Amino acid sequence: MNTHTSTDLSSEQANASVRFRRFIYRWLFDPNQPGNYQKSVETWISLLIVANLVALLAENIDVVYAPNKALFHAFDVFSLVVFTIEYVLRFYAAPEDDEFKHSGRPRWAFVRSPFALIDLAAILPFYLQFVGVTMDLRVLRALRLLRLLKLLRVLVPAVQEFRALNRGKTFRQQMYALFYETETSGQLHQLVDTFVVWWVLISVLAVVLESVESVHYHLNVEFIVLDAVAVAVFSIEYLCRVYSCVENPEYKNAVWGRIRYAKTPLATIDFLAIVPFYLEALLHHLFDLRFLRIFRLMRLLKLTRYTSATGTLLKALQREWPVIAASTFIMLLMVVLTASLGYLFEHEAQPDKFENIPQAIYWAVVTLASVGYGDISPVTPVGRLMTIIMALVGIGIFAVPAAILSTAFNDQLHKEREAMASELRRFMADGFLDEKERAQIFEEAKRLHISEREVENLIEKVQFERQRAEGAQLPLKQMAENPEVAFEHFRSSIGQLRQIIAAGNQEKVAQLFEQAGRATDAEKAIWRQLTAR
Amino acid sequence: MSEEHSSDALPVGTAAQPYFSMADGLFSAFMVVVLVAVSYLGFVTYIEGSETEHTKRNAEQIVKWLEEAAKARAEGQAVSVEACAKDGQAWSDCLNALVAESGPFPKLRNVAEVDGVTFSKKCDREQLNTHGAIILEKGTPKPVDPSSFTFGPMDDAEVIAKDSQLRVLVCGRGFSVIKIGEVKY
Repeated sequence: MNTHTSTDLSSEQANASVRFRRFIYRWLFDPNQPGNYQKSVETWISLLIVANLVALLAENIDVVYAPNKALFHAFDVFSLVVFTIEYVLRFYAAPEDDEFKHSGRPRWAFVRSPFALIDLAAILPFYLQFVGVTMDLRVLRALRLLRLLKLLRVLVPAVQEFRALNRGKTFRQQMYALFYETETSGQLHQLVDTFVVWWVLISVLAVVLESVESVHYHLNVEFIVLDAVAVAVFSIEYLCRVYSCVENPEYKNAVWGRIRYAKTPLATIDFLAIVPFYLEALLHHLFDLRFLRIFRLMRLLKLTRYTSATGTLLKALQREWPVIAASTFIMLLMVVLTASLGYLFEHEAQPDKFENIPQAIYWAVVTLASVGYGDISPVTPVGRLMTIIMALVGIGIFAVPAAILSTAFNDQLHKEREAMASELRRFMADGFLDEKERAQIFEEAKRLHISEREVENLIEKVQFERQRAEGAQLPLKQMAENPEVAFEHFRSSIGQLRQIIAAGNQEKVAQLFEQAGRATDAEKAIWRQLTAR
Repeated sequence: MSEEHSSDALPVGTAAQPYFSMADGLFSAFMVVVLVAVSYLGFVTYIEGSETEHTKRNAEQIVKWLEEAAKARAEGQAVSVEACAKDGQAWSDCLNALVAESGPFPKLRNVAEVDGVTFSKKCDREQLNTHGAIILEKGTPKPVDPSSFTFGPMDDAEVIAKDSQLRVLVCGRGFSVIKIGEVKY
């Protein structure tokens, strides 16, 4: 007999639909679901929005737009498809969203919400054309700027988080938290850093492209605007950093602290990144200051603030400096010796190329470093013999500093990772890694370019080491404070009991339990429960 | 700015530690000044850049006219500007005729400098009126390779000659020389 009624079937289908909807929401849009794709989706959508802005600006440059109209149109259509899919999926999954699920009509609540209205405004103008609403191309282009507002979906929560984390702090303290890495910096600080990094890359790319005459000829004004905006961004960043640096105890004094900060390498780089613009703008009538444009490439050094690799390299250099200095001294000796011998043997045969020893030094370095441009080369037999010997010796000598630095860099990285592991062992001395300690470890791991998987493995390893060394001493204090800890330790203990049962001779152990006075009734009951099949 | 509170001082909201102090106000005002300054300098640079672009467009028109006139001369046809038609005529007369009322470019002027010259021999930082000028240089064949040329300023007495190699430049922003094109006249 068929027991499934139509109600059961439609109920099953509805359940399947709800499960699918929940799956979509949890995997794509839920910010509280660990390990899902919400962050990736947000990042890619944000990148697409920025790319749209760049495309919109590029469309106003005839020399770029005219030969690539089809490509621009294709990109616009692609963006529209992506934003439309995003809107439809959010609309579909709205009943699962905590913001709308308690409303009587969740999807209507979603449609009315500010972010959804922005998402709709970003795509609607394109679709309106299909229903007969014609718009001027310039109006359409202007409406595409509304897509920028989609970034508010990322910005607004970051601002709210920042304000919550920094409630009660002064304006300057909040500025410090925004521009420097602190415990209360939050996501907004990451966004500010990302914004500055992008502007560094864009402005350096502009400097590089400006050196190409054909590009500079057509995009001169665009480069000027780009540079002005970049300088505005970097100027604000520099001034805010100098102003708020006094919140750091290292630069506490209002005047001298700021001066000390301004003299640091990173602050000096920030300053040099903006000075060429002001000097050229104010003094270009008096002096030819075009050479200062190359200093804009120094903006690339601003990126060292955002990576720990430079710090590790500098520490390695400091540590190995005596050895590197010694090998550099030997290199210099080799260079002078080779140049002198080259001059001695080749000067008569090639007086224009080996005119004097300083000129021969160029040839000596190129030969010893195994570069060999070929613009200057020996022609006499003795000169060539000498070159063979010095080139072979040079390979070894010139490679030494590179090998020393490479080993020192690896060692330094290894040391820092060991320090992190020691810190982890210290945190786990009480047998438990709380949220704050966990966040600290993962932050340090990120700085040392250790993946999350490796950190998890390390935590497991430390846990195992600890249990083996200390006999799994119970963290009674943590268990008293945290039922989750007690629960996990209880289950772990039961697991250990099962292992003892499996490893031991059950019959003989059972006999021991039956002996009078060896075990209490409760212990016998637990033994019977665990050995029952 | 006076020495002020640090991160672990009194709670905000007390009389001793307001959220927004006078120093913060002064700093904010300074930031606004800096932003205005950057915007102003950026705007001025943009205007100068636009003027350079305008000058480049003017120079491109000159290059285009010279190319057409060179083609007409090569084919034995008449050139629209009499002063540029025959060999032996002065280049200075030709250039003046181009921008004269009866010439093909009566409205062409130096847009970058109010008292600037339209045409100049070179881009000279010590002569401000050369900023925004169009420069016509004459090419001299290199002895080792007659197909390549060394370009230099044209003398006042320089005359039109058959197969003259010319280079048109503009004196752009910061007295930088921008090459527009080369013509064999």
